[in-house]
Amino acid sequence: MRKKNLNFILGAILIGIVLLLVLVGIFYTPYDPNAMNGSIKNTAPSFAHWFGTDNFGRDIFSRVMEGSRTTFFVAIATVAIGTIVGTLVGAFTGYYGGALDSVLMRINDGITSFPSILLTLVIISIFGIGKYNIILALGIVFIPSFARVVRSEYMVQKEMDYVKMAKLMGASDIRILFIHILPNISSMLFSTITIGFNNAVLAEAGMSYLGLGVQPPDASLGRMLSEAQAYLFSAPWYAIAPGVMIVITVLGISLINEER
Amino acid sequence: MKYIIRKISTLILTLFIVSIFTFTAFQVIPGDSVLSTLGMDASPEAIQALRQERGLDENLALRYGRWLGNVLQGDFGKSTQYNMEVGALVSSRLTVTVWLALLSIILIIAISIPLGILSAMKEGGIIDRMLTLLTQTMMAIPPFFLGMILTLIFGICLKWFVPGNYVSFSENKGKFFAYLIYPAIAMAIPKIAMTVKFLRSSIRRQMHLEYVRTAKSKGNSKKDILVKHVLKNALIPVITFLGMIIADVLAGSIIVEQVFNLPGLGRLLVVAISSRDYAVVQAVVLYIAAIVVVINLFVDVLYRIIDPRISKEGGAE
Amino acid sequence: MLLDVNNVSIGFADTKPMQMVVNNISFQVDQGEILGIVGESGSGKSMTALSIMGLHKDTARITSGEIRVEGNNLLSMSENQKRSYLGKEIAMVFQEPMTSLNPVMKIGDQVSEMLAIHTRLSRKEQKEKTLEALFEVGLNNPEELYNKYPHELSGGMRQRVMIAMAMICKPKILIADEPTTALDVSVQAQILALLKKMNKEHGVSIILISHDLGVIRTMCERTIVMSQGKIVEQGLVEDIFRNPKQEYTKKLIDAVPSIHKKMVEIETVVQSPSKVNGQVSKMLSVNGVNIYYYQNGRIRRGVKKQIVKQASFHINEGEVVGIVGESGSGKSTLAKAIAGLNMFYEGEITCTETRPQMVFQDPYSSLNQAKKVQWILEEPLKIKGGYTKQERRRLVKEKLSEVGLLEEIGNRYVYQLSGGQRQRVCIAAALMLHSKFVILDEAVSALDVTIQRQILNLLMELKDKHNLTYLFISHDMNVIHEICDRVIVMNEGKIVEQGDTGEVFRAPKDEYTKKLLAAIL
Repeated sequence: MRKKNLNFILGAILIGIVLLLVLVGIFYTPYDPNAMNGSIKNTAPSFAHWFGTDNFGRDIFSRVMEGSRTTFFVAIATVAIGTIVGTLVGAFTGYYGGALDSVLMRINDGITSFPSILLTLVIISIFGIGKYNIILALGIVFIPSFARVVRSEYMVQKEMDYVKMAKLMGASDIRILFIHILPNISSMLFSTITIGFNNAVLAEAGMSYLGLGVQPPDASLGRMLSEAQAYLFSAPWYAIAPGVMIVITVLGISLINEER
Repeated sequence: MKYIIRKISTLILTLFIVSIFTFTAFQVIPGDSVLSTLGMDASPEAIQALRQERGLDENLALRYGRWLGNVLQGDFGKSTQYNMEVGALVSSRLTVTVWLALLSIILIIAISIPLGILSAMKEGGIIDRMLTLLTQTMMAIPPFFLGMILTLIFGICLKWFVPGNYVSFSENKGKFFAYLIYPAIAMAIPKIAMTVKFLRSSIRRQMHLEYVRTAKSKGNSKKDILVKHVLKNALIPVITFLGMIIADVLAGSIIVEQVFNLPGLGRLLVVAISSRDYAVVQAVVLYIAAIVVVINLFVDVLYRIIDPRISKEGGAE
Repeated sequence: MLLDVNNVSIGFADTKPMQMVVNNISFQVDQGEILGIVGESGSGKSMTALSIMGLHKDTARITSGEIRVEGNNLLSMSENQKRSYLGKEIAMVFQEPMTSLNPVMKIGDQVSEMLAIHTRLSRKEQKEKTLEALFEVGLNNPEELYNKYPHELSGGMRQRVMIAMAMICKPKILIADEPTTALDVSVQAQILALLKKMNKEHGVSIILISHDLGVIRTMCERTIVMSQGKIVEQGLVEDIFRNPKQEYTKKLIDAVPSIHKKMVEIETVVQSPSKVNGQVSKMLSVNGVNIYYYQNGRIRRGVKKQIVKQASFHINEGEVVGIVGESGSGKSTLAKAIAGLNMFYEGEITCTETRPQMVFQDPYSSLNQAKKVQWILEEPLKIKGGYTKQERRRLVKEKLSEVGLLEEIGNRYVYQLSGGQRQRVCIAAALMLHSKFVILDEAVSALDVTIQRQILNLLMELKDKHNLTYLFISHDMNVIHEICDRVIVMNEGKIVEQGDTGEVFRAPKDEYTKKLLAAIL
């Protein structure tokens, strides 16, 4: 019992820190994240620059704040696409079944059996590189897995007697789908969304690291890691700050989800 | 046997669909490969000439048919970027990726299964708690960041290897693996954590089932209950899970190769995407897809052999 | 004296203060006797049985007492010492034979494991003894069964395997925890006979735990009655049944529906109003109905299986008609078709009530767990439309009191209600729109006997008040006998017999009906 709470508190603290940085970053950063200053290139963390500066003399702390915001934005938008479309598809196919369901699920199984990184890369190579394209690509990649989870929940729920009772009362299908059944899968939906958010953060970081996601001068956590790679020898702090930010975000959320 | 034949025919069908998808996907994109070779300011005549040379002005189905025919003979066309045969290009890069993935998978299986069992056995104990927090943390680290940390520690600080260097398989096998082990570890660690967590919860779920109570009522010791009864039940779902992990690792190498500057399929793919070298993208996607599909088939067959609840003929009950 | 349970108390360690489930109970088992332990859910009877073998959950603690087998206290033994008793001296048979067997281990291996643990027999001898044991419990092809897996066997066969396994080391004590609850009535009779045979031939003492007074009465000489973790009464079964000393035992025995006693009050109210007026109007008529089911769910490729074959019957207004049958008889499938939940049938179903309602077996599944009772009961009114918020609240309040629930229940979620309260909410929901025809699908089967009694009384009260018609589906002949005017017997999809309840029970014409009646305890 105590252990549960301890991990949950740890998760909440981590997420609290991340959210604070992201929200404050909207209104205020210690320095302009994109202001370059040739005289302070690659300086180690100091009192003036908490996380040090990068190869252009930009303040890494400010860039982490801005980069987290971009990463959050991409992750939330991605999960929103996946959740909304996935829930609709999953609800209808799970509830009605039939031929359309079998066909869709065959396709779905085909897609989900492929590694998502590969699929994302293919879609990016079609749509092109950029912040909005990565959202679209990841969103599309997320739909099948969401749809699958929601579908299997609906398949279980539709056999429950309360759904039969609702039918006998004369409730319409739409009402049964979204007013009767949906609240019953909210707990599972929450956990799918949090896991999806984590996967989106990691995927955005990966794609931007490869140079296929967010483009300079925009900062994102993955983008920063990509830039830091070349200076790993001379300025290791450049890589550590955004990397640790990713880790505490993902860890915090999974701890909360796990121990809730 | 009937089942295997059916599965293999589905496999071929899947690959066929993937090939259609990959082929057409790159035909409908606005900026085509001609422009990326000649540049935006090329003359219309030059564009037309190159289009004709590459056969881009015929209809889609015809082009697909010809492309597929060539692919089946091992001819994936020419890379616009490297100006060489795609088939040769890809197969020269395949070795690195396959060895890297294999090394990583061996690490995953060898470490995660004992750890998962240990964690489940010590349920609620201090070892279990530490492992739980550790697995959660490891799962949160992106493999490429892990790769950078390994480079920092073993390459830059300890100087066990030279960052960015690479020794090919034919040059020196020992050194080849010595360079491959770090990226393999970087990919393996998050997956080890995932597998430990999965196995641990799988064992725990089994532990609460009634047949365990029966086993206990027979006078079995705790160890025998785990080894003789629970483990087989708990490992069945892990097989499917590992199948997914293997596919993930294969794809994950795309990113990790970038960190360690390894000339594998992943680097090839990333460069090809940025330079719109579509023949290469198609070939790499098809290669990886084929490997994944075969792994899925293998997992499926293994699953049926191990789980007696699935009837040997026909579909699942 | 073989087993001596002395002053044992058990509590759950994960609640503070510790929640006690068994309080200072003492009883003895003699050589070769069958002792019954009877009680409702939550009485602590299963916990008591499990604690003898140390199989209670990890969170449960035995806080005091001794459990002695031939003088040796099991509770003070080391793990290893105790293991040599489990299976060898005391063995156990559980309620769910499916989940109690290891799904991925061959039947033969599961049975012979017992010998591998407790004897020094060679592999060959183990196999021989296993085959013998399987044959002895009435499994006639042990060689074939040896290599099968549990899912390939029927429920009754699995329970026979469990008994073979438990008996193979010739234990002195066999604990049977609700061994027939998950089985059909006719199979139940066979399993009970098998247990009795084991007792006679091997002299094994049996502790039989059951919620079913009928089972206890046919099987045991002596019994213990438990309630809320305490022993209420113990003694000879016949004495307790004829002359219960405690108030609780009296209530329990009275609550049991039985064909041997029919309650007077109910006999007087069965007169349905439509009959009194001399003219009979039909509520429902079912004509030549066939229902099919496609395995795998695929219509073209799946195997077509007929679930209901040529069903024809009718129900008059104000009647209570029962459908009785074992699992797989098609009774629930037919009910769903009548309610309009399954449109894929051949034949004709006409019902004067446009919205027939249903009450299901498991009230937990039939109520929306994400909503409060108030919402659940207002929902039919919202769907129908035309009510203001105040009207809806008033109607829900009225309905709640009609089914015997307080107004506050409206603010609760389903998991906060007891089983009986949940079933009352289900009934209220079914009656919200003034439906005249209600299908009760095993509606009281999952309830404890005393609660079952209350719900049956409530149903009869509501029927009289609103002139309702019931189609009552059940596997329980006793309940059917008590409340139905007419009865329909179904077997393997066919209606094998129908007629007035009294006549069918007195002079059954069909073989299957006779078999069912013979299995009544």
